Amino acid sequence: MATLSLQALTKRYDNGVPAVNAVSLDAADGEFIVIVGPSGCGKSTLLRLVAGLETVSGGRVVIDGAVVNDREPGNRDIAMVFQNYALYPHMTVAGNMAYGLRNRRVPKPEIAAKVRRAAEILELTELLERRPAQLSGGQRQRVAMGRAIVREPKVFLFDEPLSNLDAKLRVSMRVEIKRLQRRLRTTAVYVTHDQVEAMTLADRLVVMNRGVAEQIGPPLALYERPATVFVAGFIGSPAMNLLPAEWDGRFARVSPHLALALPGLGAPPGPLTLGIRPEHLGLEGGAAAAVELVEPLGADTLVHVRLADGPLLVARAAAAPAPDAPLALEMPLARLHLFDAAGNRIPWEAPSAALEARPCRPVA
Amino acid sequence: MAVQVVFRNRFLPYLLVAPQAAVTLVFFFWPAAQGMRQSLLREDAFGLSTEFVGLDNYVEALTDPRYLDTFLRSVAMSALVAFLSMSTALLLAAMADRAVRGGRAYRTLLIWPYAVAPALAGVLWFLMFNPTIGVVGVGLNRMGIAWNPYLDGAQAFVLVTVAASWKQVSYNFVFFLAGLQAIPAALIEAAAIDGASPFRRFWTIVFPLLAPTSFFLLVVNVVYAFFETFAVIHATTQGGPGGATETLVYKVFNDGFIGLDLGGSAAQSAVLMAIVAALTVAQFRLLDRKAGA
Repeated sequence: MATLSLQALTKRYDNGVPAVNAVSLDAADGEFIVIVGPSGCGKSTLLRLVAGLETVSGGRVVIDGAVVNDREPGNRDIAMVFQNYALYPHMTVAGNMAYGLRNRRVPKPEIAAKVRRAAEILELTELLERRPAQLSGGQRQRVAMGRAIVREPKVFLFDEPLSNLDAKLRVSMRVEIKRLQRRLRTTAVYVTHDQVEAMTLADRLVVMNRGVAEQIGPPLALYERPATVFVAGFIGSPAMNLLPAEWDGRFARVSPHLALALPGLGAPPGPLTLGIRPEHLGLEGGAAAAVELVEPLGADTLVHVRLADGPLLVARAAAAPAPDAPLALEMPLARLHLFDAAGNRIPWEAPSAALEARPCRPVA
Repeated sequence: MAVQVVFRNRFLPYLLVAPQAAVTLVFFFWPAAQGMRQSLLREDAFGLSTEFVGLDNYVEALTDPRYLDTFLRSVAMSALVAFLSMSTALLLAAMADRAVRGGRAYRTLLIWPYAVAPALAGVLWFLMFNPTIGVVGVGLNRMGIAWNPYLDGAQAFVLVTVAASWKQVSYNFVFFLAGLQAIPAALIEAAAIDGASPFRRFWTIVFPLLAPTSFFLLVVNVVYAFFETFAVIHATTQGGPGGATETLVYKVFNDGFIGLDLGGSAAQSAVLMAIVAALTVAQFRLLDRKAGA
């Protein structure tokens, strides 16, 4: 039960490159924060800074109001679940869970009671005397969780805890982690590269790229209003369609044959990026396009379409169009995301009048 | 799982094994068998007559109080060499494992002593500790410590033990370092988050995980101290002064080749062989059990 605050947290390695660059974040008590980003974006480093496994180069880590920059990992009252679980192979399941309590000189009967309770929560009671080598991947994962919850820490840290599990187990463990965190109401920071995991688990999401927090907010807010091109492309699967275009003050020209009128956009002329999610692309009326590939997923179908002379887009459709049939692609202006040359979102609301007009039309 | 190879020609596998089998037969089983035969015979000093005496040689060796002394001395030396060389090696390996800068050079330098022949290692140490010309020996005497391993049995014993241990540190170091590096860093980090001090981390996590390595090294070091210290002893004290550094192996050599009691010497060899066999069996049993768990 604690708040976690990162204040301009920075980690610079010997070569001077910042792995984590001035990340600030305030997590409320009991909040589930997920940090997501591609590999090498600094998300794991950020977590290790919070854990105390890396020394801080700048900024502060504040847990429950106390700056913990110079505290040993053992004195920060945190618990961490590692990607490869990091269970002590020579100890039993019970021994693994008890280790942190024994180090803190908790009385033996109390340790036994806490281990038993944690084992009940995680359905590990029958496995308490086993060694990690005798457990399946999912069971090891649960022991790693047990080791974290038994100490009742102020903050849980998860470092890609599900990435070593197979796809099916990953989904069920994801649900279990969420349920557990809801039940214990412990502040948690969870690092993952899997954006589905990120979306489903997070109260608030931190999207990181090259050591910088690109955007922080609730998952759906990030999905609906990505602040940068990077966030737009990273959140959502399949990814948002991003079309480079040239803005001349009236039209955004995507290809020689395609331009979009963007009424009311006050941006200076220059290059910009248009973004639209696959589910918002219509396949009736609009610009001429050809179907390149159809991926039926069951519930819906992904249609890869190429605009005449132009870029490839992915549309999510209820049913597969006939192959090779000419197609008309519709981009509702209200669903369009605009980004400037630097990749930042341009605030723009399509005027309601424009919505009624043909949203997307070829020009000569 | 071992790969199963099927040979079409049924003699080919035997042919392939033959060289190794021949080497083992000629250089191990044959001499061992001869030794066993010899241990049942008694020969006069000139080799002119030989008589079968049954187990007399064994009885004589095992009831000789000097043999018991030598046995205890060998055990003490083995224990000391194993303990000294392993603890030093573990300490150095733990430091090398943490060395960030110059770690490679440090490791290479630490491995060098293993390239020194045991006899040379012995001579080296005795030279350093020589009471009249050795740097350390002279220094000790100047400081008022009566140091002379050529006269004082205990000092000679210490010096032989230290020389034998020093040479073995490198070997143990390599294994310990490999063992340490095989321990995932995340385990140590997890222990740190679990509130274990560095010292406690070492004793509760690192040391138990090194147990298989340690046990393997223990056997290797005991065998080394029992047998390969021969060269160290032969090149320095020759078992002296007054038998203070005479180990079982050295006594085999002394009785057989200096005392020319071939039968007695062979009987002692047979006892030594039994000890090594027992150690090896114990090691395999324990390693098997570890692997099976």
